[in-house]
Amino acid sequence: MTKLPQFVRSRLVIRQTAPAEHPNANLLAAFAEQALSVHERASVLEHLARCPECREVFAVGSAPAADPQKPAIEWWKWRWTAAAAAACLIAALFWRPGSFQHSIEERIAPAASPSAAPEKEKPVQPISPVVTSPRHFRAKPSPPAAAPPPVLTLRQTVKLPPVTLNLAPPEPARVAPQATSLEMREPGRDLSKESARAQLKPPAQSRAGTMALDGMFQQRPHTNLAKTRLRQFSRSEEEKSLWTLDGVLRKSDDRGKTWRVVPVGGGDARLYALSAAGADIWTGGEDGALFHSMDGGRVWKPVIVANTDRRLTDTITSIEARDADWIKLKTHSGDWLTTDGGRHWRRQ
Amino acid sequence: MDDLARACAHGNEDAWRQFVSLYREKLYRAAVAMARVDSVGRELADAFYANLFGTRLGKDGRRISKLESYLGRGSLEGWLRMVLAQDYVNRFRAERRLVRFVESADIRPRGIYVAPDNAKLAEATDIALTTLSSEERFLLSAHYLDGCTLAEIGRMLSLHESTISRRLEKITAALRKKILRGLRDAGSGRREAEEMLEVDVRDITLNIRERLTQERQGESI
Repeated sequence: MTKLPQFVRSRLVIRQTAPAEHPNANLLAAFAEQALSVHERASVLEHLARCPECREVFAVGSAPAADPQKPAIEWWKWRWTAAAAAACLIAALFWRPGSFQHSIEERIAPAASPSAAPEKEKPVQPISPVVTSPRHFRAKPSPPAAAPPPVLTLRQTVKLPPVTLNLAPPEPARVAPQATSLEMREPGRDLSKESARAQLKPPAQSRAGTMALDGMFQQRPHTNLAKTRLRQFSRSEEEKSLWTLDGVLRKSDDRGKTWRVVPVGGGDARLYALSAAGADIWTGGEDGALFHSMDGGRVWKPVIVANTDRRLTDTITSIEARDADWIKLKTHSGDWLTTDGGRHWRRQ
Repeated sequence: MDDLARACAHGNEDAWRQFVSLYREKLYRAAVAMARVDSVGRELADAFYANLFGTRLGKDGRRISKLESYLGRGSLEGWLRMVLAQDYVNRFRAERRLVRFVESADIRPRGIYVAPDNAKLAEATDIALTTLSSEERFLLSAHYLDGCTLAEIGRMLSLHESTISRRLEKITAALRKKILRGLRDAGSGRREAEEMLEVDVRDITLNIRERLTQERQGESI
């Protein structure tokens, strides 16, 4: 709207000289309803143009009446809120639960392992296979890629509380994730910055009749993997075995009492992603390394992830296997999907 | 004159019952819309309804109803709204006067400032304003002086607010042209005329605090 100069306004104010006789309510009502003759209308309009008091009355009288039927909360004022809520609901319905796992884990970590913070201040102790805190499983730091993988001797030292690894009969509903941390100490390493948390969760989409976890935990980007490495547990109802990852693949066949390193492919690549459904295990990690076992981890077959253009060389951070054929890998550079059990891959 | 209003004014009980059923709720709604506060609106409507019914007695012992002043030029509902608006404005003005009396120290003098060297501009502006029609002056006054919104003005004139907006744009531009032409006719150059129209001390906003700080710093140096 064009601004009227102040000077013009002031001259307009000077011209607001109301005549002595004001139009009564009859005339104003008729003017509002356009029921006056042209001459009468012009005279009323002329008066209104010069009389601020009558303009005020006329403006107030022309205000629309309040609607008593109008609800206290007008729905249309909330239309954007409703739209946002609907969008959130849709996102919650269609978003893969694993996508939020990382943030969820971060949130529950302090509550699940309250002893983590004080233990950071403890001096580094010589390596001891004895677990100092059964609820705090702290992994040793990630060595550089060139360094040899650590030899971990857990023997019967890792004791997970039975309540944590609830291996009771399979439940269709999601088991509340419980962070379980064990601490392994090693001389000369600053363990205070590292923590590995393991969470147990039933599979979102397991194969028929199996209770397995596949690709539920997404990990941080590669730079953060060294700081906080997630332990990925998976459970096979058939074999009563547990799987975990902390750079290497570990397996427990006695419900977590003892753990053993499972050699995978004989390579040096560190493993950060795991999907286990029954005896069908997929694991992947650095440099696009991907391995597949169909016999519960006894025989491993390397899988080359490539399409016609390029080969996957990035770190695999998550594996999602919906069935024997549909497997999806997540990397920092994008997702890879196969629908024929790993023979052909396409980048997404 | 509307028969219902006439019957009510003469104290017909049946007419009053009909009036109540037809207009009482409408009066409440109109009063609430005017006052914008439910309790104030209801109080206003109740007082108005009492006046319509007639609280005073005439010489002949008959109630004097406000409905007697209804002449039937417009609808009864429109008339009721206008009278109600008049009552509300009178009440509001009375309260405003009370407030102003109490806080009179804060009231600035409402003088119209006209710079002596702007006599040419004042004359040109007055001439330009006289050329405007009554409707154009009404639009300018309602929008720029009373602060009515385009929608409010549109309701008053039964026009769409976009129409009001277009008309105001047109009027403002035409007024400006006329004033500039008047200034040029009075001997001012084009640029000078534009400057006279644009430069107004009231349009300049000064940060007094900043200016005082700068002056203090200048004095200390």
